[in-house]
Amino acid sequence: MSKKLTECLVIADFTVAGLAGLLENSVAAPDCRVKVAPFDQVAQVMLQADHECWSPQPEVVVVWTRPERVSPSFASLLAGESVSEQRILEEVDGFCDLLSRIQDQLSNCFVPAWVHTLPRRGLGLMDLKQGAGLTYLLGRMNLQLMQRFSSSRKFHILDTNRWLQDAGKWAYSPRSWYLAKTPFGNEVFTLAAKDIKAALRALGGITKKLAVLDLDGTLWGGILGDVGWENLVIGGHNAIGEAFADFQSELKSLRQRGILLALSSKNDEATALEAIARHPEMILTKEDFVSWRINWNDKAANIAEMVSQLNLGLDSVVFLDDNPAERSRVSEALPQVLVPELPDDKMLLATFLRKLDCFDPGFISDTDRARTELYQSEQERTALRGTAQSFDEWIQKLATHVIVEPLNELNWDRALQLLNKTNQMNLSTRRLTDSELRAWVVSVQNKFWTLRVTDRFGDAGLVGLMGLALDGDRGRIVDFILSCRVMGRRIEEAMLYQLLIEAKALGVKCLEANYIATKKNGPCLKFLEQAGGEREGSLFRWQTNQMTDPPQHVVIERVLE
Amino acid sequence: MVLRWLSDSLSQKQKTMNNTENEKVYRVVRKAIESFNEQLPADRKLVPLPDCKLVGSPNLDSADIVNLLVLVEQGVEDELGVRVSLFDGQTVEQGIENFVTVEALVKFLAGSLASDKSQ
Repeated sequence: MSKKLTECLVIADFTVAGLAGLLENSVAAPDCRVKVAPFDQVAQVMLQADHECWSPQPEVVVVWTRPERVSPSFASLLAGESVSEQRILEEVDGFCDLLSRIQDQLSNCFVPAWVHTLPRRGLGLMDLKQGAGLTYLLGRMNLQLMQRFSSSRKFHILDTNRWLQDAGKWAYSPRSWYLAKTPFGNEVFTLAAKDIKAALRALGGITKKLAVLDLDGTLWGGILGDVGWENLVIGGHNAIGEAFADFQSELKSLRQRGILLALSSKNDEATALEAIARHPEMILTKEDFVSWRINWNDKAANIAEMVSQLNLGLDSVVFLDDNPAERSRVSEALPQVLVPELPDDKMLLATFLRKLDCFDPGFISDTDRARTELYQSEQERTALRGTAQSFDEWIQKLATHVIVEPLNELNWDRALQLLNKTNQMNLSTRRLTDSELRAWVVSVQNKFWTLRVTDRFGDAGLVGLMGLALDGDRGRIVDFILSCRVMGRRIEEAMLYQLLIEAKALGVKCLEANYIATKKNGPCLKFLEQAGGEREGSLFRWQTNQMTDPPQHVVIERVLE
Repeated sequence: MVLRWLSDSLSQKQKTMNNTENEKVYRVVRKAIESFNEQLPADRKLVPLPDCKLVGSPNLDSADIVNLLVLVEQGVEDELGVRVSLFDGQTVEQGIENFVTVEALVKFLAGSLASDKSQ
């Protein structure tokens, strides 16, 4: 089966064939087909909606320009003339207006921030001073660009300076510039391609959700079982200790923006937990971890078990372990898990982690920030299950409250995120960009609701989506989506019940759901099979004049428009 | 007889050195081609063998040639510690016979490096 190709268009005022090739050849997802607009025809291509470059319609556009081409006043400044900052910023605004003209022709547009075309010292001491400095004005141009698109869901500014920094000695290529109008070295385009792909994965919700960590040699120096917790190397006035502490701090900041942390270590569990609790320099605490397997068992088996328990996919996991043998074992047994090669030098660990792009978010919601707590409260629910005499009793004790609300601007971002990353309880697994979802919901024939869930253990946040397409007296469920965190607690039943209520109120007599199978949405089929409708192959039907009772012990509240 | 032995011995060493120089340069050129191939579609990728066509190849336009040769220059500086110029103020077309194949490029570079050393 051929993979879906993301159509890309690169528009630039210098030679970018190298970037196009690198984007197409990179094995990192998503696969891209790249077209390059004619050299230095930026305004022409953006002003002509019927330009041949726009066919086939690209999903992604990269607009990479030089500051002196965008702002004639900046070009004058480079030539040593005196120009006003205001004039330069007006020209930047003009460029931003030009970019905005193409927003309906794409789903995402990446604009690398401006850098000097060739390396220059500028005015030295004066270069960062207002009024005269080249670098100062370049910074103001970029700030204006960033501010114009800061809240845009389509336009994203990329950090060109980071590519130049990381590319090292051959970041700039004056010879390539004069000979072929390529100002940057190969490595800059390689890094640019990598970042663009990472950005596309982030926007598509394809990022890693869980980091599984080893302990000895990874979170601290020393072998716990040999030296005892008191002698572990963490923090303190010790270069290696400080490096481990920094690594832990980086992990903590990942956790704070929604990445889950878990442990897989060959140690005695009680001894390890004691070390985590008692070592005064530990940055990470037990509460930072959603799960752990600290035993002498196979790490691959431990990881698979934890991932299953957390209702995640193996492809959402990163395994960080200093031991090459353990890494090799997990790589082989669980090929979907990302297992990067950690540097042997512990002083490079934090830098290594900071440079990983697999955790890049498309955006960060409050639900993301609370993710660890949400999973931990899930474990409390599971523990309660163990005390209940029956499933019914457990549901009753949970005291689940479901709040159904139409899609609106306040819940939009989280809904879009959920639509694009939920796999298991997902009827059609359709993925939509921001503009595609907007185009869908604007039709009066299409209805879309979100679902929030709370219970005695707390607020699980926005966890469900229901999309309904009306066709006379038929209603077709297009989206039936529920976060894996809250599956199996009669919330699915509440969703279906609410859909029947809504459909009936809209004049629908027959509600249908066409199940589209993927590798991961088996749980959705299982639910549909026991949901009481008629089945014809992959199609399930319910008559709205034969309403079932709402699910027991689940309170449904409908928030009006 | 001793002088002849010395002369033969020096020639042999020169040949060995030239072969070694050629091998080093060939490795640099091959690495540059492999790096450059990352930008090319599958049906245009170069096979870094001595008879691989460069200038004049239908798979490479002038910008491609420039970018590849710049990569070679950078590779020579990084790996062999010598700064070379494959353009020397001229266009590629003016030095074209030196870049027609990988072998021609390696020979040209190795010759340049050898004459630099002997000066």
